[in-house]
Amino acid sequence: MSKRELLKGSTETLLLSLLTREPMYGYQIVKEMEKRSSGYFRLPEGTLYPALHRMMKDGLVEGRWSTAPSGQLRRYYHITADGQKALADMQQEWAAFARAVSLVVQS
Amino acid sequence: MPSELHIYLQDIARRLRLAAASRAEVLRELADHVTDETQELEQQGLARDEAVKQALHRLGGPQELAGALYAVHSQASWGEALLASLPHLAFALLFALHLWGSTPLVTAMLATAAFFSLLAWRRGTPVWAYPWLGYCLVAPAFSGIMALAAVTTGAWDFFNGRQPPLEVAAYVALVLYIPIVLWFVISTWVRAIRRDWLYASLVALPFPLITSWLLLLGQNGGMFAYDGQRLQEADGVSAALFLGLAVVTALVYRFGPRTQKVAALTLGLGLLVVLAVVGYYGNLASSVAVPIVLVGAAILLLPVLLEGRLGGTEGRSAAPQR
Repeated sequence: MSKRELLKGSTETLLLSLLTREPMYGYQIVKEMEKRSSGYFRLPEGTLYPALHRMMKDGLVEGRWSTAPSGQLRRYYHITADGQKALADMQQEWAAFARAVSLVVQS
Repeated sequence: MPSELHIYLQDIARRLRLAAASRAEVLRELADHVTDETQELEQQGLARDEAVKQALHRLGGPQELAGALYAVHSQASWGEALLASLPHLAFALLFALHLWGSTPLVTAMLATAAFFSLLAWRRGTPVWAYPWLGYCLVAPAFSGIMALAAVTTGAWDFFNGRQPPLEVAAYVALVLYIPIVLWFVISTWVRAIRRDWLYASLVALPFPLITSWLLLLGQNGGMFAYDGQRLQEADGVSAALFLGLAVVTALVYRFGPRTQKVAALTLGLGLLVVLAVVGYYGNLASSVAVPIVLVGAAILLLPVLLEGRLGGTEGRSAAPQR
């Protein structure tokens, strides 16, 4: 399976995980994802905004316009209580999946 | 000369087909993203033009990006889809209970549609409101057609030396009424087309069925001399057809990707028009089938043909300048 396909299935988990640390705007998310994954993940930018807007519609994140340290107005995405709960479920699912994969691969 | 970013955002704006406020927010967000990335690429040593080109390339083609954003924003919740389908369901119930002859009830339903439309209009026309707008236009549109028919008949009588059936004052009132009602119907429809031709088609959705029912009424002696028993036999068909409109409307609202919405509308309306002709008249070769099919085809084709001429979506000039 390619990295792109793996990323496609985990975009929501990765985005919520980042936003649980601090609210971020779109381009900041791309850079932060790249930094935290030591350059492994370069989020396809064309999928970022549809994913964020979908999560906003589902109530997992909230978009609020506020002024960035640079003085420019940005839409910051904040994780909601529903988003926190969804992330906890996703993390649990991910841990079970990763454990199962490593058991099979290493056996 | 517009910059490459401006052209890109204009293309996105044209394809997004969102309400003005949401569209402006999406465009602003995308513009900021490209500006941030361009600045970073410039710091890495790229020339400005090349940096913009690369930033836009990373964001993806405007068609794909706008399509994905449209699919997210245009997919209504079940509640909104139900609200949009409600006027069709109300008319299905009206026919199922054989209550279409009740003038106060029909008037109350059309007045409710007008009230909801006005309410929605004042709130920037949320997407669920378009089918309500369609029923709001039913009374003005058909009264306008009847006024035009009365004036034409009166003029024909006058020029042939016969006494027209109405007083002169009544004809003057009708002649004044026709352009007003024409302006109201056309301007409302054009406003819907400018937002999205798909919504304009949803506004016009009940018209082929109401036209076919009125033709059936005409075959049975007209509004004031109908054979109640014979028409009531067709009420099951009418109820099923309006229920079909409700289902088509709900599907159009619930689907996200535009291709799915268009497919639901095209196939659904096509099927309902055929069912109307077969159900009401028993065979497709009947001469009354032609106007119904024409009205149905016009509903599907006219908005999409007119959209380009009328300036498409309201978003063409919405791309923020950089």
